[in-house]
Amino acid sequence: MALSPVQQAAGVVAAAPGGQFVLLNVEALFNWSRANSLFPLTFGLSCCAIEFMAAGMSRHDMARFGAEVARATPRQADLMIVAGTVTEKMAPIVRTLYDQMPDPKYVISMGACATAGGPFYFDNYSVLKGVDQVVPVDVYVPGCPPRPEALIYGIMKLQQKIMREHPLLGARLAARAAAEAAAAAQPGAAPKAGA
Amino acid sequence: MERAALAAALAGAFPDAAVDPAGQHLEIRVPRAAFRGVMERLHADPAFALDYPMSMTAVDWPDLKAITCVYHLYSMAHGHALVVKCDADRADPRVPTVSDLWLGCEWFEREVFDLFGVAFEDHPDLRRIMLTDDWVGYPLRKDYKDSRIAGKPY
Repeated sequence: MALSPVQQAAGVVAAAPGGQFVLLNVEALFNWSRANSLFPLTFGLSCCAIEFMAAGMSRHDMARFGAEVARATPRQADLMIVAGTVTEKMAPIVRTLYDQMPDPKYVISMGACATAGGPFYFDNYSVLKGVDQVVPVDVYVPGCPPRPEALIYGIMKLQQKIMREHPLLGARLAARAAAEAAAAAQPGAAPKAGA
Repeated sequence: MERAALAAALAGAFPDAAVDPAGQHLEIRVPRAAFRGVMERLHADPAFALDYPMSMTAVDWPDLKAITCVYHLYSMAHGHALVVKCDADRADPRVPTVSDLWLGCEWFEREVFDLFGVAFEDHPDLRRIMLTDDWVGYPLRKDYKDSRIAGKPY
């Protein structure tokens, strides 16, 4: 399998003296920039959307956390805040919106309905029992609806989660696997070097 | 028209309909055979002038083997409201459409068809409106069963 430019670069840097240290700092830079410029998708399904809007307004001001630029298209968004009740009929549309978002992408399940069906859990034919049945959820925010502070706390939790990521890990592993495969393919190659 | 006067006028105009003044709104119960004629008269007669359909729904009565269609009508000219009820056979519910009289009833009737399975005869576009197109069954019927429904644990 051919390596992408990012994977090649990660391999070259990782093999250089002190390269792991450099890569970790590059990853930290990636994480820092991603966590502090989350672009939420303008997307509300019921009353939680009102709190989502309030969180973006001046009193609560989500811009303090870099998450105020709610985009009107999933192509420009990297955070989906599922704010409200997901019905069976809406579920495939939510999934389509998620699929249209570019990587890396994150999902916050806001409120009781999006998390588990909420007050519509029992004796109901139309409401999905949790949006995690159709999209992978990073952070669940409880409440009915959650206050803007709760949503902002959810965004802070997501930022902490993003800061723990290793965005270049996949590229490093792919580069190392490719190098080992190339070494093994050579006749009379030296025994495989330690990791 | 005043409520008592409206009740008297309805009783005079529709001898086979039962007028019930007990509820919040004045109410007439119309047999299915006379339903279409009564609705045409209520819409066209300037004495009633019921030109605005406020709401329409249905009630499922498994014991009575009936589905009752309920129409809330209002008159902008006179300021009076009227509830019209019409029973349909639960095994094969068919009611004449009134969507040609009140255009707003077109979607109301689609909704009642979607959730109760009442077939409105001569409706121009009787499709499901709320649920997905491939839905099986009519969820607001009292005997509706669905694997998605979680029963109460108590």
